[in-house]
Amino acid sequence: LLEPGEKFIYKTQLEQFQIKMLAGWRMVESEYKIHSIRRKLTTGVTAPYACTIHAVLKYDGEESPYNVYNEQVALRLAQTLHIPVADGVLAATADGPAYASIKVNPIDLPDMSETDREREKVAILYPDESAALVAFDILIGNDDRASNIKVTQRTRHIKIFRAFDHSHALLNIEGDPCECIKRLKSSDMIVQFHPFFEKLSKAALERWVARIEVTEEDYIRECCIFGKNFRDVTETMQHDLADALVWRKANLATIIAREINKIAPLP
Amino acid sequence: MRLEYYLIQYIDDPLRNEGRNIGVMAHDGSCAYFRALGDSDNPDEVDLSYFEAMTEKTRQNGWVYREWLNWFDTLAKNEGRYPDRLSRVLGKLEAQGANFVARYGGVLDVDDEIIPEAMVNELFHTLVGKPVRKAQSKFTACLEQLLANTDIKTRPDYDWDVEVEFFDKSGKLSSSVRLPHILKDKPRTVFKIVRFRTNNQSFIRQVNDAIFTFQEVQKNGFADKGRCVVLTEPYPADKSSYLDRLAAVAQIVDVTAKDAAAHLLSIVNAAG
Repeated sequence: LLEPGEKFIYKTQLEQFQIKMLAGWRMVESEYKIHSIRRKLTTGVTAPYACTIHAVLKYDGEESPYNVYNEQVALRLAQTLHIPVADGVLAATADGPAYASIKVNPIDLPDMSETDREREKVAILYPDESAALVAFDILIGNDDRASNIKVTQRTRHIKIFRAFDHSHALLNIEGDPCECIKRLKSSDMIVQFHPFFEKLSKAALERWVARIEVTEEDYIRECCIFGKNFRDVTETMQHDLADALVWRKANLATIIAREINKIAPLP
Repeated sequence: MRLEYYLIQYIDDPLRNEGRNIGVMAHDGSCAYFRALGDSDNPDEVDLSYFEAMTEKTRQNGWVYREWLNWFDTLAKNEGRYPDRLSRVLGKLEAQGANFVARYGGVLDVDDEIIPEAMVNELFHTLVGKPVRKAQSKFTACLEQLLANTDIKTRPDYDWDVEVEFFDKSGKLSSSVRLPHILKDKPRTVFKIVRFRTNNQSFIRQVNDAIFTFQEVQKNGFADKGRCVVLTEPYPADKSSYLDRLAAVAQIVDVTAKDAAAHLLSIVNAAG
């Protein structure tokens, strides 16, 4: 039996593929460490093992009544657009589905420092990730990024950049979800403060906005629409949110251009 | 002068919530001061060994400690002027269920003539001290020192405890080998450790494993012989034949030798 987190495999037949990936631009990929490896499964030619990994369970609450839906939609959008957010899954609980945000390491990393100088360092260390996150947060109307990012700064051989917590975006920008959808479908940038405003590169931001703008409508809709009511989020709300986000992604460059002085990207 | 302080603790298992003292954060109303186990003015020189010696989890994740020390240090330097903000940020750690928390210690009335740094040092030695580390063998200490001196562990292509699987033309797994250390970028350098000063059975197993590993690595074009490295120690005369067998497939580096770092760097930096 393998020790947890001990095994990394290089499949030499895939090497050519891996080299191709490395030669081009790529996002830093983090690995989720295993909490425990259990029994070997008897089926499957790949000889799989059952295992457990660390996660944080999140529910709907008074302050964020659509939290589970928000987190799941934000994750789907981020995965579709290749934005570096912490992975997660829906988990069955007695209270219905909850959102399990997977921890990037068995021992927590600190949240990104709230000081300006440190944020600047992170933006320099992770220029594409920080630009991607700004574009994404404007898309989903997340004005609460604050320090909700797990990032390594001092460990040169381990690169981790993962944003988390989307409880105050999408249907929870303000109290009434209909108002949230209205704001998303308007030229309101919503995000008034972001840790990477005034620190990110203009070229990187433009590249990410362009990527988001050309994303097919259907992909965005599929991220929002679950095909049935989900907790307190009705199908109608899901469709309305999808419409708003499709509109918003198509107009993202214009929305950003109007408030470019606030974002103040570096040339 | 009033010095308010917090005890910084590491919690291995948030369910048990048992903290181990690792540092002290204190403020005098206008500045904050931070001291922790293994700290250093240079973040790259933080001594992780005290933290790594605590539990199995910390042994495998020692690097996280450096990130936290940097975080606390930055917090002290930037928020130290604002005690309320400092207290709020420290308080959040416990609420988040983090592995590192700050627990309120109390207030000390300190003579104005005593400089705060000295008082914090005294607090640190009283509350944290230096925990006992498991004594390292000379070989382990030399090996760690060698990897540190040659900056191998901080190279971006460095990895450890790697398993490499080789496949035949039909895609079937033909063999797999384990490497305690590797530099992944081409031309790759791969390492095995062979301890001569151990019992005979274990020694022969190590030698056979190293020879098999290097043969497979070279046969599959993963690394050249010039970049297959045996990290070892001075060998007894009766085992010299084993050294010859190892030398036939790899470069031998005695980690206890004075010129070990230069020798290792000459291998790692050799043109591909």
